[in-house]
Amino acid sequence: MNPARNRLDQLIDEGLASYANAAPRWGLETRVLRNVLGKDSAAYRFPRWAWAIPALVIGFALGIAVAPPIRTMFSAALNPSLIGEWCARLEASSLSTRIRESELFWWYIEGGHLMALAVMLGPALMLDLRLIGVLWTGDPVSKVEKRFLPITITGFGVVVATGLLLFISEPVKCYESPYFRIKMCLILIAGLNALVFHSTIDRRRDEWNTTLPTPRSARVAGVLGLLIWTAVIFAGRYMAYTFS
Amino acid sequence: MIWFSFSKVFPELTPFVKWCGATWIGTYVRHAAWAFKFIETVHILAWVVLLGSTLLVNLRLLGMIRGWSVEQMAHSVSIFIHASLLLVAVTGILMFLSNPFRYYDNLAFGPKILFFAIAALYQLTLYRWVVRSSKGGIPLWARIAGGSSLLLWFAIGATGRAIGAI
Repeated sequence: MNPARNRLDQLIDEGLASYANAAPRWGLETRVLRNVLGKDSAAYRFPRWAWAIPALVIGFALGIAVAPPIRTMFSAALNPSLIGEWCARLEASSLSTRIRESELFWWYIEGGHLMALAVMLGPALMLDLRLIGVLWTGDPVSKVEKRFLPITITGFGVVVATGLLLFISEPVKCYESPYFRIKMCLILIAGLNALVFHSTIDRRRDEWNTTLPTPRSARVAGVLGLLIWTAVIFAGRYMAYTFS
Repeated sequence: MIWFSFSKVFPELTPFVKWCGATWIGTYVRHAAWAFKFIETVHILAWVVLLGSTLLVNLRLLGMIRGWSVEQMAHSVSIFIHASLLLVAVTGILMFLSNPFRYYDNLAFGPKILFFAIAALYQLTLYRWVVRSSKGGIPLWARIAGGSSLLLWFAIGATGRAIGAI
């Protein structure tokens, strides 16, 4: 037999043996199962203590409305004219004046606010449609949430930051604008909607992660999200018309 | 800089622009109290959807979203891209008709339309080819295509906002 050929066979055998002996990285089965079932989104599970936020707000409101000593304690702070005064003081501050009287900075913030809104709402729209069961129905809800929510949250951060700067630049006009008040209420409702969704039906996501149709409450959350954010854009734009 | 107005570049279009303002739809939008605000808000809403959905495909091309192939991603959001492109164009044309000389003379309107034409052409031609041919790994030129498309759409938003600022 050809000795060179023999040597080659031996090398191939050794190579194959080393392949066969190589163990896969630890946790292969879990990874495959996760990918198959889409149950890899523990990171985006809402904490239960988040319920404390609306509970506190409601408790606070009830306390002010019902208990007289607490009401007297807060009546001064809740006086609407005081909020107006606070806005006026904010408007007189150097930061507010500087933003308001800047030539380009204000427009950059305003533009950034809009762009970030698109970055926030594009992925949110997709998630809402998945919850309603219209789009991305081939993918588990957890996957859509995991891939899209980080983009939405990033956009939301920029929207809030630029929005705060815009508010600081003209607090009195904002405070007096009915559209601004509507917009803030709508954002609050949108937040509550997200909170309720993530802390109730979304906690039991494993039960309906891949099944269609999606549960009624998930569909309600999706439709509410779409409607509220559309209304927020309308309120925000109409607010600007009253300013100029 | 990038700023130019169509009235400087194409002064011979003046009769056409005048005609645009005289069309009944233009006259209607100009005079109805509710129309312009509503149309502009829908324009912004459609643009938000447009940028948001192209963003997803572009982030996928850049490799920043994983879990779907470029083609799957583009296929899923294509209905939004096309519907919002249509809506943006229709509302944009209505806004132009309502007060054509405002836009004809505007220094930001020129670059905006230029960017929009490039982006729309890009989206409907070259981009499709990029999406179709980036299976498996994402080649460098596909990343460049995604990045430049993203920049273009943001530039359209910025110049569009500047129309009201200038």
